[in-house]
Amino acid sequence: RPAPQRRDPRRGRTEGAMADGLDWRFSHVVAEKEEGDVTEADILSTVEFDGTGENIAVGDKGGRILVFTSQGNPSFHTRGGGASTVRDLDYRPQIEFQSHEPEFDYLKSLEIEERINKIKWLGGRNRTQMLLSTNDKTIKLWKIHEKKAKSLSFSSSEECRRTGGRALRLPRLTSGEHTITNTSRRVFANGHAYHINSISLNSDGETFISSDDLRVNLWNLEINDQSFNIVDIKPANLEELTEVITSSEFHPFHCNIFMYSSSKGTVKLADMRDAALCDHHSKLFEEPEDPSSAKSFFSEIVSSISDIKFSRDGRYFLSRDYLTVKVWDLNMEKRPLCSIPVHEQLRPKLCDLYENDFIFDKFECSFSHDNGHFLTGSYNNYFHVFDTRGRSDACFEASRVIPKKKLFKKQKDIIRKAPEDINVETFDFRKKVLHTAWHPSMNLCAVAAANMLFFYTAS
Amino acid sequence: LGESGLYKIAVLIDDLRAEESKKRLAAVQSLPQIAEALGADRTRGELLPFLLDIADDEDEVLLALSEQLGNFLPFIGGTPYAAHLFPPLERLAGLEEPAVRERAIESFRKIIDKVGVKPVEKELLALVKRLMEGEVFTMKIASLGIIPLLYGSGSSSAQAEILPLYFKAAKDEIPQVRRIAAKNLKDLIYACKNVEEFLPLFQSLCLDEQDSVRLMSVESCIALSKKIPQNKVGNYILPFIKSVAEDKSWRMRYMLAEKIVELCKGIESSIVCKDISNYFAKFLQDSESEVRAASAGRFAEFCKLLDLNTIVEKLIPPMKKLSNDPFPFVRKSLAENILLVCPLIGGTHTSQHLIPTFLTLLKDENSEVVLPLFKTIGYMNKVIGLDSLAQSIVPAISNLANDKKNWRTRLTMFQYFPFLAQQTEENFFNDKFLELFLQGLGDSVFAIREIAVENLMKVAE
Repeated sequence: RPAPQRRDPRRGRTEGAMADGLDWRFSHVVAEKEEGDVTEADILSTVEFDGTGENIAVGDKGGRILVFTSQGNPSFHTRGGGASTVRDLDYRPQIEFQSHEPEFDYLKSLEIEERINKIKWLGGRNRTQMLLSTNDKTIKLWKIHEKKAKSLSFSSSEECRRTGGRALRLPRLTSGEHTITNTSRRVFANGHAYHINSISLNSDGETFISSDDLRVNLWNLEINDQSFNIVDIKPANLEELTEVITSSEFHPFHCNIFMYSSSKGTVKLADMRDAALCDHHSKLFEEPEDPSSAKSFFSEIVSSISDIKFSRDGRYFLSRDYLTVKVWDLNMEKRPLCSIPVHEQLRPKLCDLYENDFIFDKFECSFSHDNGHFLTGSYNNYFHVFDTRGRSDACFEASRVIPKKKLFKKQKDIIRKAPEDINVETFDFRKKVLHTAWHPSMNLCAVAAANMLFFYTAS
Repeated sequence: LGESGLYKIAVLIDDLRAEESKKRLAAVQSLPQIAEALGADRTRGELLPFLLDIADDEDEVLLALSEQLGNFLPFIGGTPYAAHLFPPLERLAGLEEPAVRERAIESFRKIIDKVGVKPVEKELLALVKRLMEGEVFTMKIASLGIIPLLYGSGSSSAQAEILPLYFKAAKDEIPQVRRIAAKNLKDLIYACKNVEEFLPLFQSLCLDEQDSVRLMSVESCIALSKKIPQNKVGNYILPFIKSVAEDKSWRMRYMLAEKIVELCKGIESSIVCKDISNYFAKFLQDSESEVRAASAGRFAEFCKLLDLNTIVEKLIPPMKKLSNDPFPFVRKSLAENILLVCPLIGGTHTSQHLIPTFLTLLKDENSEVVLPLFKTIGYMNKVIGLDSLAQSIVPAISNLANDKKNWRTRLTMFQYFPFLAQQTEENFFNDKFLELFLQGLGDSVFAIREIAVENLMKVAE
């Protein structure tokens, strides 16, 4: 059986060659703060575009959600048949609010962090926007809407007094200014004994799943005091525990299919039509072990999948583990279509990375809108854009610092890294791009680095 | 109204826009008083437009407002002016909180019930059309909720205008809209004159890719079965039943198992015995425990539709296997129903087929499975008498009544003693159970003593 296709990162690519056809430029950066003012709470923990791509939400470790919108910005033009060019999108702050507060679990004597783990937007609601946000324990449904401040033209009771109690007048309501405000619509609490890692909305528009280390629960958006447990991998004896669930996602349009990944590097597809309890998977995706590679203590840790994403057409999915991204075809369980190394140079350093806990960093991946490319982050604030056949790899740095040597005159401010420039010895492992997002219909990416959100566009 | 009276009303009017939601809620609940003070003309002309503007408020307040408007006819001058209530209700029905929407639609129903469709048909039609074109999908859902209210008693021209709107919404790309179209279809079918018009829509909803939409088709089918002529049953109802019974989604099979008795009421009994009983037998052995439990729960009801042979040959064998089902809730469902069948099959068959199953259930390790047997034991008693079974029943009851581990088991058993007393002969009860029951009066747990005392009277009777 041929080994899965692997790309050798040492094969050089010159800046000029654009085999993937994408010409990336830096667009703008938001959520900036002066370096001295940045606190731990400002670090971004999740990024998500809404269904139209007009809005993007980020969550941070301090439990806040910031929403940026490209709507109604002066630089936003529509051309011709309504299609706008990518360069015109400019995301400006729309609203910022506190989604979750830190809590304390008295029973277990544990702090519950307010860090926002995931945000998912609800679709199809025009002027009113709704999103689900979750921390480790509680999921919340937020509504973001315009509020017109209305004031009464006069007070009815004062009028009444003025006329000696003889007349009753109804005041008129005058509209004041419009403000954007957020309202909490539902709180889905007490559904999980362990830390929630994912939430995902069903294509039926009414239900969603949430997963923690051992269980996946099914909720209805309108019912916050009940949830169905549909996957439970908790063994009868907790000491026999060998694997945990790391991520879960619903299929983009098959309402009965969802998948969940594990710390052992497997992805399971479950069909809710088969049974009420989906403990038995309908498909199991696992890359066959490479007999030639040496198995080490670390090889199991790095095989833990940190993120899975369906493609928009629902035929493929990505799985991200510590060192690679794998592209899978839903119809082929035996092996991925390709397995792409992201930063293979780190493999010899796994021992050090384990000492510092960096080996447990959870990188996300993002599919492009046309399934042709995907995006994932790395250390040193680097991020990579690959094409899904694994033929090209473009590496960039999410940073505001412009290198003194202006090598790329035509490209506006984007810092591209050639393979030979990538030196893991100089990597700053505290600077990492864990969270990324790709616009739902154009070549526009959002990359979170520390407290900042970088936007890049490509034509 | 004296000076202070009007002033109080004025304060209420201000409270409608107070900062605190409690005050707003109280003000909304006092709307009748405000309306009376203003009089019908001013209520129509000034108060209702004012209310139209407070639609972005908290759910509690909006719920109260939706409810009030449903009862507001007397305050606006009665039936001739009913349509004045529609603009604020229209706004409320299109909001995104489902509870508020449903209350508003309920208020529409109340008003239409009182005034009839004719006086307000024009306004309702325009309203329904506006909501269908609404920019938010919840407005379409509201429209789909109001159409059934209008359709049945509407003029034929109104009906002709409404149906295309409904059919279009049933193909909307947003699944929640299609689901409500599927859900309300039954109301249209019950109210319609020509059921054939709805068959294409019914069939397309049965094939919807979203499970949530397909699930609604079972209720629609029940409506169809009641209105469709018998000779068409084979064309539409039977194929539907077959496809749902074989559906890959367990939820569909579950729905069918739950509703099958209703569905069969519109079908000839010979067909039920010949074909549908096969599906029911399959449900009793379904791979999904929820389906087995649902069908066990409908076992007795379904058997009432069948002849003796069918019951004994097709349904009793799979039913017997359920007494060994791995899931207690399935066995419990069986225990609640099995004895109800005794009168349907008579003494010989009861002895031959049901007694062994009954005895197996009696020995079940889970008390929740055993207890329901005693609630229905009278059915068996009528057919064969319990003396022969006393050897098995008495120890079982005695164990339950003396369960040392779980007082709730004892409690439930004592709750069932009146049923036992009622359904068995006096001698039998006195002989075997009276002493046991009287022991309950001295039980260490107060709840049991309480129940024993309460039931003492019933047992004595």
